[in-house]
Amino acid sequence: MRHRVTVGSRVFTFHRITGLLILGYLYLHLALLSSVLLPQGPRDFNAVAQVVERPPFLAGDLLLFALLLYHAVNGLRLVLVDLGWFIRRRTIGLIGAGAVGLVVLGLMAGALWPFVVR
Amino acid sequence: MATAERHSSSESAGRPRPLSWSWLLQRLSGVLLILLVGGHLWAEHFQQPGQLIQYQGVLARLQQGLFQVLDLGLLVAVVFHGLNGLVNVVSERWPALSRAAGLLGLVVGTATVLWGADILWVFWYRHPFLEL
Repeated sequence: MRHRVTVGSRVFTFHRITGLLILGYLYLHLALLSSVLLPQGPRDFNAVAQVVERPPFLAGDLLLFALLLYHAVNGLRLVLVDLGWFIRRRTIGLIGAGAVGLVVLGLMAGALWPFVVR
Repeated sequence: MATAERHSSSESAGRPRPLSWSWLLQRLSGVLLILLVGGHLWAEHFQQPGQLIQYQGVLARLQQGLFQVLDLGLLVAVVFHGLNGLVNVVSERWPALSRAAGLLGLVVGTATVLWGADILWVFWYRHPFLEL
């Protein structure tokens, strides 16, 4: 069964890929918390916290934030489409969602900038 | 809702899917999660900018009733949304497996919520082993 590949279908495929990646992260997050915290307590919690705030992990955090932002903004757009918005003007919905995503990304960059130039 | 039925599933498979609890709750939990995950990230990373996340800080936050409710809500909403989404993907790719996937999702979801609640529990009640 083949479907026509459109911008919308690519956007939706990526929505699902980001969703699955975020679900994978959720289990990683719970596994780390429970393996560190439940048996060993605060000392190890703080030691692990120091490790995961090193640059490679921060890059991972930024990637995670990008996945969440895409999934959130496009998900909100999908809800609005289901409610009957942008039905005839799907392109406007896509461009609007992209614009909202870029604005939030800009705000995040602004909030993080002081730590970059520190 | 008639509109939603005709256009449900948006750009995905190109065929309308019926309205269901799964469909409705996926959207409600999704909108809720924008607030809860946003709040979670904000509380963890922007309350004391530039400082490491410390056990004591998380403990102090989670001793407050509001955050206990919010974090438990976040846990339930995120587990439902993530696993229900996964069940939807499996059901669309392999329709024969949809029932099995739904049941497995329910079992795994319940187990995951219990697991997450066990982690939160450590912060809610100061466990004697965990005092510094």
